[in-house]
Amino acid sequence: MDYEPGGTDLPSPMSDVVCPFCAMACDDLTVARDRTGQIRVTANGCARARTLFALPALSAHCFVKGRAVPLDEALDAAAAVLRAATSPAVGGLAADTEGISAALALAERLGAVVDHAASDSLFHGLRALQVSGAMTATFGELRNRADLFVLFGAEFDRHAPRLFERIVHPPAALFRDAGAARGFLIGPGHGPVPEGFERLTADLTHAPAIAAALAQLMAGETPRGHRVGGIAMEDLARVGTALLEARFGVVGWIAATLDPADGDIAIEAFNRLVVSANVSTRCAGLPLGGKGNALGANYVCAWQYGVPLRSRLGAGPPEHDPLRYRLKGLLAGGGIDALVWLSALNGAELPDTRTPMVVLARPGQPLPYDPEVLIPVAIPGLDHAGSIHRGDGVAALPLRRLRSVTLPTAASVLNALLDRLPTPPLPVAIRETAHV
Amino acid sequence: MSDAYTLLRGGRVCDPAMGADDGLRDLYLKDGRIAAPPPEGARIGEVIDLGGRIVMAGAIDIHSHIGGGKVNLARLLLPEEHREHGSGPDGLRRSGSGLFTPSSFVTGYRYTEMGYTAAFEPAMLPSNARHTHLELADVPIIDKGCYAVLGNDDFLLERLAAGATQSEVNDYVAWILHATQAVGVKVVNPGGISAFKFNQRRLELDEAHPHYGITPRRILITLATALSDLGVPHPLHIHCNNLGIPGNESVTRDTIAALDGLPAHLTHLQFHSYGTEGDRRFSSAAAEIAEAVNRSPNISVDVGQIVFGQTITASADIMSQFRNSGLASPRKWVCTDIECDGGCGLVPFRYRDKAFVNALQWAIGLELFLLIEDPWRVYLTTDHPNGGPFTSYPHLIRLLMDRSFRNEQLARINPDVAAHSRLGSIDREYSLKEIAIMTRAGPARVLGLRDRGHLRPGAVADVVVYDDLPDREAMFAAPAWVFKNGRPVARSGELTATGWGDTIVVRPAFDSAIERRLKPWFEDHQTVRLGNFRIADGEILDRGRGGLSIVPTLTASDSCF
Repeated sequence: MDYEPGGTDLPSPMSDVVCPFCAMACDDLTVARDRTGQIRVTANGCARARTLFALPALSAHCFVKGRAVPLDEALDAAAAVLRAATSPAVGGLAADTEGISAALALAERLGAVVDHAASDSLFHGLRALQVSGAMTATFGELRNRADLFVLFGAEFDRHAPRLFERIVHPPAALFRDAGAARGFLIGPGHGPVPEGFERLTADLTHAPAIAAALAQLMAGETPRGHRVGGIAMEDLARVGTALLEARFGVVGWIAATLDPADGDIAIEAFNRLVVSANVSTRCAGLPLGGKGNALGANYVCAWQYGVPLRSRLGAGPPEHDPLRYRLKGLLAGGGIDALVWLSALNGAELPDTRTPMVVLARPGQPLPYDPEVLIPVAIPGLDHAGSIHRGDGVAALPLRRLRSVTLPTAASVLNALLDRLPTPPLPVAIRETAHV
Repeated sequence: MSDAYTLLRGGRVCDPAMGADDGLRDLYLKDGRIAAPPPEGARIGEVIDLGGRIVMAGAIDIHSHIGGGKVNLARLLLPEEHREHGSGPDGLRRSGSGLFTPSSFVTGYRYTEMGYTAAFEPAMLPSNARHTHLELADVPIIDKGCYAVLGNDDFLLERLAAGATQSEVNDYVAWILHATQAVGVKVVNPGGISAFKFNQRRLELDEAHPHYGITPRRILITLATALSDLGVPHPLHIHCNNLGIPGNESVTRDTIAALDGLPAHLTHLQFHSYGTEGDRRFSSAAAEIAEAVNRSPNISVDVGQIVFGQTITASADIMSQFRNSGLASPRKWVCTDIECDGGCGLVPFRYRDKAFVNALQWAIGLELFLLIEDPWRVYLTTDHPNGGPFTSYPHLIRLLMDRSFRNEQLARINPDVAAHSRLGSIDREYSLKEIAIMTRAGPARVLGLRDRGHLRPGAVADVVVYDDLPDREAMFAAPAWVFKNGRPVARSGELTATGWGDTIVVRPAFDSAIERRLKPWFEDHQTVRLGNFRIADGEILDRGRGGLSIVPTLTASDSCF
């Protein structure tokens, strides 16, 4: 079997291992394990995978205010912190499906706000979706079909490692010449570009204007001015022509490198661009980047509660507000009096806050200060089985247990914490009338 | 195992699968099953006096988009829906929201409270199967099953173009059913979703695919034959070409003719029964389609009735959805090309009773229900959420059972419809027995669920007790009791207990040599490896959220229709 929830008897080296450390969710890694449980990526990983798979399998202590304690005592202390709270939050949410589910159930019990550590990037796309929808394609489709990539962003290697190897220039493709995809990189930065690509250096705070001008050029109109966002209009015209001439073009973006203030506006503009290209040819949007299973956390919240993250759960019906319930903002404004922080995967650095905090952290998590309660948890996909969602939205991938560790899973810790909290008498559910 | 029986005494049992006339009958439940009357002296635990109330098996929804990638994206697209329709935790129910894309827990509660004990997600893309099962694992109480979508997947199209034998296709179909933990196969706009990726905007039944050169007809026949050869009880579940296009009735009739006696299920038939007559070039072809169904005992259908109000259309048919994106209300929509596998299109829509087209769609659906004669071959669906939410079923049952109510509704909608539809002249009213067939016994039979949809000893003790109210909508909206696996879970339309249902799957035998062809395909062209694509039983069983229930395949001696 490919999935062995209880066993760790997988032969070493192990192949087709899923990497849980970014939204590319590569599932072709080969890893080897030594006697101490240390794992080494021997084929197909990126630099981040090589580093994070090699995290030692330490058995770590729980801490209350910096003092080492047994798990039970830490859970009691955590429950005390949460029982005293009136405006709690459950954040981080860098975990597998089960860990996220348990965190959301805890939030529902507490009446807490939920948000992911990397939700700023996630919400650029989500707010654009909520306003205008989306027209996209997934990795597997583009790997075989896309003949033109127009990519907005910077540091593609860091945000979307192996994008070029796996999607843009794969060894084989069904409907195009595998090595021949052309493209443009639009954004800050200099230096060499992948084969077939051209860099158009641009200031991405102007991404909405660049995309709008591009749409105008494709519609045969003449945008005002000679440059937009630092790009000469005649260069942009070549991008527009390429999108119209492509059989299947891609407009991609790294959300984390868009303007923090109006990334959603940029993505709306990308979407309009894609839709207009589809009048005559085929074209698709491609959101890139993300880590800590941010998309998965949002998906689980959406299917269990009907609303995305940045919602308050359990205090009456789920209440979603992408601005009001942004956890970073709430913490900065002193609006939270107890925080559960879940960081079983990478990508959820501890927030800089004095708010009393219960931290569930993977081994190796940087801790700039001692939280009220610290409970180390196992890493999904290394220390226990589970699942995560890939960033393009369609594939959920299985995580296997690769070694034997004594750390508890995040889900088991959160469930134990839930059991320590009272079940408050809550108002009866609001029922709607029938839809007729 | 408990040694005590639960006795449901003195109910009027409406159990069409039994054949015999219904009358007052005692039902014994034991260990989650219907039991034969116990020997004298057996210990009877609880006794519930039904006082002549009507008893039916748990209802089964054969086609309802309740989970998976596209449903979840629909939730994310419409925060306004979930803002309006939310509920907090109440000690029994988990919190949730939504009306036509309800959250997973709410979905289970609402079905249960209506007396539904199983629902089938009809459009699981194989590439999205793990997500779909993760989501359905959070739908409480009811049993669930999924149809894997095939017929636009490049592996199949490429193999067909290369001249694959029927037996190779059979092995692939069986492998997909196993790997994705599915109970059936659906084909959506055969070839069309793939053709759209090559920038083709429409594909007729006998038109060659722009890349592979094969026709939708060939895809249909090959898949229908595969399921028949494999003994999969549920025949090919077909979403025909040209959904929603005036005049599509011809492709629907051609599809029935093309099947030439092969068993098949045509889904959301209402959306495929449109003619082009009249000033507006949009007319009802329900009579013609119903006649074709009546003449074809190999065909079963569900209707995909529309109900007036806001909803969202969610379909794998991105070719149709892109074409309809201009109708989005509110004005936002999603289209996605997926994994050399399929697609996803989401278009929010408001069906307006004063709009001629929508009102006629409403009438066409009802005409189909009333003109198709055999209730064993036509099932109650709204294609949730595409025609409207599943919570409108009690209202639809009243429309079918109560002619004067139906005509009152007809008088309220766009007045031109009464002139363009024969609905007002149809006298038929469904009987309770016919409702029990179309919502229980029929779906169970066409899905091969031998121990569901009836109340014979040995059946799963999914039992619904109704007050015999003259207002059939009120009656079916709030059953007096609902039992799931022998446990009471709802009373007077309110949830009283929760739990987890099974995932229903089918596992036909096949030659595993097909993996030798599939493994390199996954490595060279997919972005998920074969071993990671396949869903292990443990992924469903180890979450403690219900078991796997395997539908037996048909053997030569089994009758299918």
